[in-house]
Amino acid sequence: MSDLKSIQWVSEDTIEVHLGDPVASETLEKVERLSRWIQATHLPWLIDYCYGFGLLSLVVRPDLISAVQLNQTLHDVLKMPSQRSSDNESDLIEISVCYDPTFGIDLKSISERTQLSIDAVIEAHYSRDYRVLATGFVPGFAYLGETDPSLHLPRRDVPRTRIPVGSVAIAENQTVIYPKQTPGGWHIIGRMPGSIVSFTDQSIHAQLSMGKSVRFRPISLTEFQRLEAAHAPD
Amino acid sequence: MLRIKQSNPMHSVQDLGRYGFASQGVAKAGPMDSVAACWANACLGNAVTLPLLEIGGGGFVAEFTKDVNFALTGAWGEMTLDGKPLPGPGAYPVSAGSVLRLGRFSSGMFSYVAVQGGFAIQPVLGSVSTCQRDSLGGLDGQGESLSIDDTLPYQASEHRPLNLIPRRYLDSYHQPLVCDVILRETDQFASDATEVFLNQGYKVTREQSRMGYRLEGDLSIVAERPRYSVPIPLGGIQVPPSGQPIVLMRDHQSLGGYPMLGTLTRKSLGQLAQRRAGQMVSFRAVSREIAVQEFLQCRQFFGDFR
Repeated sequence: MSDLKSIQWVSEDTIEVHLGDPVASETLEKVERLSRWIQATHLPWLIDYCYGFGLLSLVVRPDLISAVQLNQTLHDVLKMPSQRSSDNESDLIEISVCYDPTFGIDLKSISERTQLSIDAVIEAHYSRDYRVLATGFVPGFAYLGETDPSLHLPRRDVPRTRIPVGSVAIAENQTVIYPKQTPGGWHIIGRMPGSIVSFTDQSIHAQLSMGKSVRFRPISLTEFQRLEAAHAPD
Repeated sequence: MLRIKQSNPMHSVQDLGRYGFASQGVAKAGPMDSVAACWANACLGNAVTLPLLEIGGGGFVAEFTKDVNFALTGAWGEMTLDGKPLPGPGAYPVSAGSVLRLGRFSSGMFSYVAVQGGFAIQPVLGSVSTCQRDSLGGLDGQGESLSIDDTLPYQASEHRPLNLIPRRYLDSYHQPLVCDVILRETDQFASDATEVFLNQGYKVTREQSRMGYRLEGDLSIVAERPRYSVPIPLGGIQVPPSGQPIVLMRDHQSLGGYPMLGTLTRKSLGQLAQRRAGQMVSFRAVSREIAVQEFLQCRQFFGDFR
């Protein structure tokens, strides 16, 4: 029973599975395995699921599965040999970010608060890879971590009412990309060209999901404009 | 079809909700009072998963352009068909040209209007449920509520006998409400938190929306703010730093950063949704086993229940 911290029914049809420390790679590996299994398997008892920071929440048909059965099933999945091998590559997503002050409107205040130069802030942001720690809030939104400790800042006291689509921002030990224009309290350091999420009537294509890693690639304002134009609809 | 003559932003198309996309941050949506919504379809002999209308707060007028059987359940008030008062929740036949008017509600917040065979609306991500927050669902698929001159075609259907809703299942939303809560095992609260929560009455405040209802009690609950946001279940009771609880409704965000005391049962959640600002509610603990039994009874009775 060491793999799962605990399983708790939180409503008539919702079970929470605690997988451990949200930023530990051990936890993220469990999440990855479970999400691959959920996506690849037809599970008649599963209605929906959601993952956030060490916690997997499953909406189930309580007439088709008990907590005991679920516990056993999840243990079996976690015991299976890892299927992570050849498709490793596709799990790392490269995202271009323009850190020009036109977009990175909080770079100056971050630089003041962290006592780092603006260039050092930018470099600290793009020079490490991040893993998806949680997805949710609005469609396509992913929490990525952990950022360099020198960049850890609490959220803004007064959230902005409108943050432009594609804005890349930091707060606490995490970084995010805004998939749509929403209010937000994060510090904005740049913008990606195009969109991190797309919709059809039948599905959502979110580039960032559980199990993915992200590498940011700094680009110039000119390149941003070129890429943005390439993404624009006809 | 049904032609909308008068409407407000709390009038929307719903079904039992959008499932399968929570991991991507999509809200469940669906009816605020799923018991009343299921009855609307059930008394027409429809599957309870068919699209219907949720009418929040009255002020709704619509014309049926073709003969059909329709049902009206949930909140009640000045409800008339061609100017004549309707006697109560249930199913009724109407002929082409009839006008349904839902005036001021005297009891409850949300009524449900269904037609035999269901409204024919294109689903988005598996559901027609309108979610303004996510810009999904509704007539245009973009999360818009109903507006004047909208037309809703109904699905051709065989005439099926109409079912009566037994009196004992008709809810009145006047009385003070006692909600059943499945309590959570957690260490994020002061030791007296559950006691404070269960032993006082709460007033429903004006801050009520399809995302959540804020409640107000004399004593606040002391809680620690967790470092990370966690998934929120439908009906979850969040306690922000004010110490006054928020109950999360159908359009709630998928993750939240406040500690949670417990979760309302689905039936109690619908009952709470029907309460207006100023009405009183209190809470009692229920075991998960009893709650599941009741939930499964609803599922079995209606054929589905969410």
